[in-house]
Amino acid sequence: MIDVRNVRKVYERIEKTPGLWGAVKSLFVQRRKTFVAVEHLNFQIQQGEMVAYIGANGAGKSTTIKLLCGILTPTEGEVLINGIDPSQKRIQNAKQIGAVFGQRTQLLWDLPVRESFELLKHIYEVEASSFGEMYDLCVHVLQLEALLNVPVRQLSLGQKMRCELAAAFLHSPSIVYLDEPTIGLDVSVKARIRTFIREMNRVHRTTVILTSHDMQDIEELCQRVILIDQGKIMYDGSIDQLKKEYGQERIVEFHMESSVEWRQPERFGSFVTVKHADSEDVGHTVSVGFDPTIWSASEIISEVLKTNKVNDLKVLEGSIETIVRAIYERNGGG
Amino acid sequence: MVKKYLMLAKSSIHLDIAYPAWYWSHLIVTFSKLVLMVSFWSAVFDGKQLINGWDLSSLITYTVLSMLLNEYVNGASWELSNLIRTGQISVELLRPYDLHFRLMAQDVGATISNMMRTAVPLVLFMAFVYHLQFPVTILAGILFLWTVMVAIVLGNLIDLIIGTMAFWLENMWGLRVFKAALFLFFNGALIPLNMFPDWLQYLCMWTPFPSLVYTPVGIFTGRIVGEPMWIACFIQLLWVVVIFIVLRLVWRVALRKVTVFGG
Repeated sequence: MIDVRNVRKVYERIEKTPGLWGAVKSLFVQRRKTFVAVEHLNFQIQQGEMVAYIGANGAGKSTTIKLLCGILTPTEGEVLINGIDPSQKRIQNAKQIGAVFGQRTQLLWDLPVRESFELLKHIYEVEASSFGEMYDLCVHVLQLEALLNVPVRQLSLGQKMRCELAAAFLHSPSIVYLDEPTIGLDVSVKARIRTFIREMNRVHRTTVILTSHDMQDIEELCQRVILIDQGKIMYDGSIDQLKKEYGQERIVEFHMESSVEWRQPERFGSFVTVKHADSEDVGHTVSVGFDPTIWSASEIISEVLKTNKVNDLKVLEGSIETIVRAIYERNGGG
Repeated sequence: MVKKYLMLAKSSIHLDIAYPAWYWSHLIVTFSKLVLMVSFWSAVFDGKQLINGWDLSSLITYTVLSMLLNEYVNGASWELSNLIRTGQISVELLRPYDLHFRLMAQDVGATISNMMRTAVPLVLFMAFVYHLQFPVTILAGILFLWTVMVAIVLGNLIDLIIGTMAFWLENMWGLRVFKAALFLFFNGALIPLNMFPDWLQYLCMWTPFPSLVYTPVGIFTGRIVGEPMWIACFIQLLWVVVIFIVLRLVWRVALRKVTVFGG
């Protein structure tokens, strides 16, 4: 069970002064700058739950995962994983968790997959019988049979990801963190990976914490969603509720010259949310959010074009980003 | 508990064997270096019987062994600094092992494998061609093997301290070249330390470098005998303890950079 109580994490960075003189100066005087990565984090996750942890880039997702893994020490508050404080007992905690980070490899680059797995057995000190069972299951569900004798560096992205996934589950961890496990993969590999995760959860009651920008990953795997933005939890609840509350809204973005003034179509009234964002070089952007059960995207576009001179427009899909944005806007962010 | 490190050591033997091109080029380069140094000393002697108390035959024995040993008293600084630089270190921290012991296990595994395949044949070849001397006594032979093992561990520990510097330095190249030069000169691999002027010998004594090469090879060639031999062995072990403590302290400070300040 994962128990996070009132956690706050503050980073401290040394500010680099530009130029040669700045570099010389920074040898003697360093300016430190702090910023809050996450705060007021509070959540509990029970054994066997599959939870999606979502948020825009830089929202604090990986900071949270690192706090749970014990790679980061919380500035305030408490993290307990099955009763263990991961930042104090990192090695003890490491035995009960598994992880896949989309961009980082855990397998030994030059060894064949089979030997890499074999080595993990010893590193995690798993008993041969339970390891063999898990090994067979992984090889079977992820279809790794043909890959076992290939050195890791020769695998394609999809093949490597399947092996990474197996490597994260082989020691029967009670919790697995999956950070973008399907990024850049084709549809069939994605489907296989989802099947595998579901199977692991069903058979071994593995707790899974998933971060992904792929809405389908989340919908197919998770019952619960925790949404984080700017270091704070904005939503924690079922995925259905989330979609009911926020996912309805769709957004059309209009890009215009800075000199052109925005004229709000009269028909919009208060049913449509309009947000302006100016940037010096690209002109300004107006995002129009609307309820797709009342309006269609083409209606919105034609209404806007009647009264405005628009350079470009973009219809945003109902993705995580739109939901995050919708929540962010509703909570009165700038 | 120990088994995982043994398995890691074994895996790096596989890796060492996996690259035949690297093996042959390393063998040829090392062989050329040895022949070069032996020719150099032969030219320096030019019919003389003794230089600084060394005769040609024992000096050649010294040179061959010390040049070879110098190849093996390095460690995993390169891998460690890469882990730090690329951020892969965070994945390593998720593993249930001690990162230092893991890196050392793998490096020692590779070292043993490489010694068997490179150093042993080269020594046999050089012994046949240049008539290398045997260890002066049986005890010296045994202590040589022991001190070589300690030297490999000590070299590893020093190298890991160097690697840890990647937390603060953006470019490790300069530091690594500096270290290689320092090692080569002060550990006695280039010339026996007792050929140095007194003040420089004295200076060396206060560094861990002589323990890496001069101690084992000095014992083998009978330059360090009697009481000084036992003292040298003791000092070598003392350095292992001191450097290990320094490594752990430096590492703790470095890790705080990651865990507390967020890299």
